[in-house]
Amino acid sequence: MEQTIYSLVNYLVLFWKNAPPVVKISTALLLLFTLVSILTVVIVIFSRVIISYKTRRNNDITERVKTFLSIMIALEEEIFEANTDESILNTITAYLKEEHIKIKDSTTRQILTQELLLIHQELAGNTADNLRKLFFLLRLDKDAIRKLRRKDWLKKAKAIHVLAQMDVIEAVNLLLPYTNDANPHLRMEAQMGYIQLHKDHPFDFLAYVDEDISEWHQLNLFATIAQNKNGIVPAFKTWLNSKNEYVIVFCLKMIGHYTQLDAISDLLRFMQHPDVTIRCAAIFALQKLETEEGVATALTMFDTADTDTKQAILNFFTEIRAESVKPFLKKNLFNDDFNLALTAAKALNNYPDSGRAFLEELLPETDNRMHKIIKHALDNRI
Amino acid sequence: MAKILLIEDDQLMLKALEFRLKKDGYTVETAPDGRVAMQLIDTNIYDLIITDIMIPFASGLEIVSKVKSRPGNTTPVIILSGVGLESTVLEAFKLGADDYMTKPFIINELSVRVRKLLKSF
Repeated sequence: MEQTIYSLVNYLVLFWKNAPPVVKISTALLLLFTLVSILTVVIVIFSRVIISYKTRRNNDITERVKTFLSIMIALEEEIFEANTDESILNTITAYLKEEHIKIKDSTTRQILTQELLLIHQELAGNTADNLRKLFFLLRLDKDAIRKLRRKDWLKKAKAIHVLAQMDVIEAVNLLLPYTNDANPHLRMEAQMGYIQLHKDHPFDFLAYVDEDISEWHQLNLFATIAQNKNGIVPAFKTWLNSKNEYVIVFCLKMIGHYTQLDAISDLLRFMQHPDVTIRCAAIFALQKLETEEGVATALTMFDTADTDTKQAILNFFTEIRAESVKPFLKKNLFNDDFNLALTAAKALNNYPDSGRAFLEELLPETDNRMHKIIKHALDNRI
Repeated sequence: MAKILLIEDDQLMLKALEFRLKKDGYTVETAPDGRVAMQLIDTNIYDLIITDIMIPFASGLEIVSKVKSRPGNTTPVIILSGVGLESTVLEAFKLGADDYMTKPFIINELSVRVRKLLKSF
């Protein structure tokens, strides 16, 4: 056997010595690629084993955590009520042991936080309060605060979401720097969290935010304000002098939504703002306030305005039933722009007697285009 | 001991409600989706059914419809849903649902409603 191996090695050495360079290079490459392939297969198998192990482990932890939380909810009266924090913690620790949950393990804590948050948002009353208490007793709030120092923006944003949902008031000042972060997702999460957590001045950040606030971002901020438990709705005109145009647009929308009538004079000023978005937002706010103030300015500026502003003005007039506007609407019924003509028709239809009657009288005498416009405007289902 | 069928696709919520209702003294059977729920309804008689609206394979409204369309069936159904839309609530009651709770809800309130419905049926 030994001799065979020896002669095989000898043969290979001899082959290598006598082989031409091309064969030598090819053989070396062949060996190299074979080794790389074997190594790749080993790495792939190894990583798949690790991933599969982690997935199984996480699923197992999740199952245990779910059972633990279910017990906490089912037995909440016995565990949480009329007990000191210390005795509650002792009971909780006993249940954690029973479910073989290693609470010091970071993955376990992460899964517990995640599951706790999910069930917390579906429940109200005592159970939700008790789950919040559980969150604090297990010091999961500290984990979230620690995650705010991570480099990864997604981890920070998730941590802010946790802090806001569990109402960790002490973290509110930690969120402030992120309300003007360059990352739009982190910035939005921080602003929403700040509104939820700050009990006195939840909109302070509007004073110095110089990053943009997208439409989606504005929608989320609005939803947060609407659902905010502390119910603070500030006078949004406070931030109309901001240098950030996004802040101005957002505040104009909020002034309209919350019918803040004391901001009318500011709205009139912004109706003639050089920026079209701000201009339209101011007109939209006036429309929401259903005020006749601004009608004269709107009528004066209409002819020289761009299409978006014209559309905003006509939309504004759909809410105003002022006699001074009616001749203007009748004229614009024949506007070359289809949408403007349609809005003018809709605005006329809102004058219960004279406007609707005018449209109905006009209907038989009109061409096909005008017929469509008037029929559409007269249809109350639309 | 009253027998309750609990239909919910969120495992944690299912487990939590199961534990709680068992603690209240009921026999509880669970279904994680509409298909399993339909099979259980076909082969068992329940004193009360609690169902989520958004569940895989069949909606909570289909469950209500099936339960209530069976001749002589008086099983009360409570809808537990994240959807609080007026149209959905009205549709549920039109199909015969006996109660409707919107998430986030108070577990103790559900417990009281269950007790009340079981007494009245």
